[in-house]
Amino acid sequence: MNAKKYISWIVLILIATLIPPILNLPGSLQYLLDLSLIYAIVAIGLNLLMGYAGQISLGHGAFLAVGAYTSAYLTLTLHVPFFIALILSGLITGIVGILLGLPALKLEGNYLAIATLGFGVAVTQIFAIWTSFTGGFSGIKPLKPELFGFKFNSYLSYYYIILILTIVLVILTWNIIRTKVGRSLMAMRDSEIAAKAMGINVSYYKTLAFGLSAFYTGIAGSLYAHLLGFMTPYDYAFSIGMSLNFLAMIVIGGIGTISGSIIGAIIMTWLPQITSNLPIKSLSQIITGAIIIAVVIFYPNGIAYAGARLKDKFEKLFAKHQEKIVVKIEK
Amino acid sequence: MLLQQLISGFATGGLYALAALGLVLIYKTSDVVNFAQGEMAMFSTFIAYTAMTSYGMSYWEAFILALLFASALGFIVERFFIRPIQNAPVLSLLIVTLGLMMIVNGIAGWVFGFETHSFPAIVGGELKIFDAVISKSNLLTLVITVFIMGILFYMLKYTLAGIAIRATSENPTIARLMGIAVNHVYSITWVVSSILGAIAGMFIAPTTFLDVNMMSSVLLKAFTAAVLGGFTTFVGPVVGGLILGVLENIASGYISAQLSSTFAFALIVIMLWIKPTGLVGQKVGKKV
Repeated sequence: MNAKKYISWIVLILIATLIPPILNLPGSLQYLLDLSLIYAIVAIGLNLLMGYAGQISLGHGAFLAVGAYTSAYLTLTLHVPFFIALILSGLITGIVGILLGLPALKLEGNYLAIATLGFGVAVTQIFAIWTSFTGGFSGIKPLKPELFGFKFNSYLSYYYIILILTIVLVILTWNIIRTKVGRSLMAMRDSEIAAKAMGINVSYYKTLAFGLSAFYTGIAGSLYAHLLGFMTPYDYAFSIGMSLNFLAMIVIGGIGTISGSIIGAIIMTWLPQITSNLPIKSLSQIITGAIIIAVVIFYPNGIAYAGARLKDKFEKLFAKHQEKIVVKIEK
Repeated sequence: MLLQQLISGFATGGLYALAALGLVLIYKTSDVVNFAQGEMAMFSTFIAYTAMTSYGMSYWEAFILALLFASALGFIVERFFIRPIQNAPVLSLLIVTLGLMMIVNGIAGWVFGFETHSFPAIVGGELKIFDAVISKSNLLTLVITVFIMGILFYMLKYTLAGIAIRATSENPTIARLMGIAVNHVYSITWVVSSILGAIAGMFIAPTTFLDVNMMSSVLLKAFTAAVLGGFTTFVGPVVGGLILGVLENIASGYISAQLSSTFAFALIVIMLWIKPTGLVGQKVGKKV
């Protein structure tokens, strides 16, 4: 990565850190900001699986539920401190991901989509019935996180926990992508058979991709649970509809890019909010569907890529212009 | 008791088989798994419901109208959403059908509302054969399903269009060289598939009730049926659907009806793990 890119990320982090206290957003909007980052973590995890490893999942809402309920159970029933519960729910969800990855070893493309869709529906159903763990319809109330006696009561203070975790996970993702693991995943994505022929242990990396992706989503799930303060298994974020939204995030933002995942997550979190005042109740869903179809047909690489291409064009235009000026002077 | 369970199992299983046949028909010809099929069927069912309640049509008039609508919908979806990206990777096609699923579901919610309605059965009443009490609508559903499958298989086997469909599913390029209008075949399969889905939707609606989300679990069952029987043959989904219907009926009696989707998921995983080609499927070689 070049220096320019580093600087732009640092500027972005600065903006993300400073904007909320400066704007002093009302609670509901600050909540959405928190949620955008949580969804961004899910999107990064899903992108690791889909964009880099080439495996589809329509069941990430279910992973979010596993993470959320694990964290809630650990903190409420077993009185584990929040930060340990956070990591544990990531790990446990990761294990669930590996378990799902095992049957997925034999599957690809459409079959994998079907199997993960089934997983998503099954988990919601099981959680709805398993009331001793999830509290069922009456729900449970996860506690607000606490660290060294400081209680993260407000959405604003909680925002910084999420922001730090997002940054940590983004850095982790970079390191995964830019090392042997990432290259193996990408080789597997481009051609499983070729990857196998080059000596890449495809089964291992496929399972690993599922585990990692679920780990990210489990962390996000834990953050989500403690953001909500009250949840039931019927929460929209755990449904198939949300799993499709996660997919939409990375399709819109750009499959196989980290920045795209974040952009997509922000768009998809705020879109329902923007359209909520309009009379058509399901408008954001219709728009989402239309956008992802349009993106696939017209910008198969997503918005992040389209933006980069636009920038390139501008720069080229500018460069050409400069050249002309130089030529004129020389003459 | 057993006969009763078998008949009602076969009746629901037949409907899963119809929906699954629709999926397989498209999958075999154009390699697309249509995730929007359930929602398209739900929309057509709503058309029938509205025709009956708001415009006073009889059951069969509304039924025909819904089928006409379904054919138009299938045609439009193929022509304007799938054909432009025919040669795109599997993932892109998958995402487009998922997008369609969201759009159709959203529009249905907007136009028809989010309330749950009760949809009339074809006939009421029950029939007594020996000790078994069988609802007439179950029996009629079964008869109609078998009849439709009969027509479909006859068409696939003996008519020119059917032969074209089978040829295209074997190899689109060679089919095109043989003078088959492959694009027409794609249109036909989408139209037929949409009709099959709509029929399944209208027959299932009396038991599941009609609302915008009624087909999401049915779609999963159709997938299960297709996976059980195999995506690669036309007989596969029928076998898979019937087996699933009976198994589910028995399981809901002994285990829990609330877990029917979990049961379907378990079946999918087990089947894909043991025999990914399905019970009657053939193994298809993969090109590198």
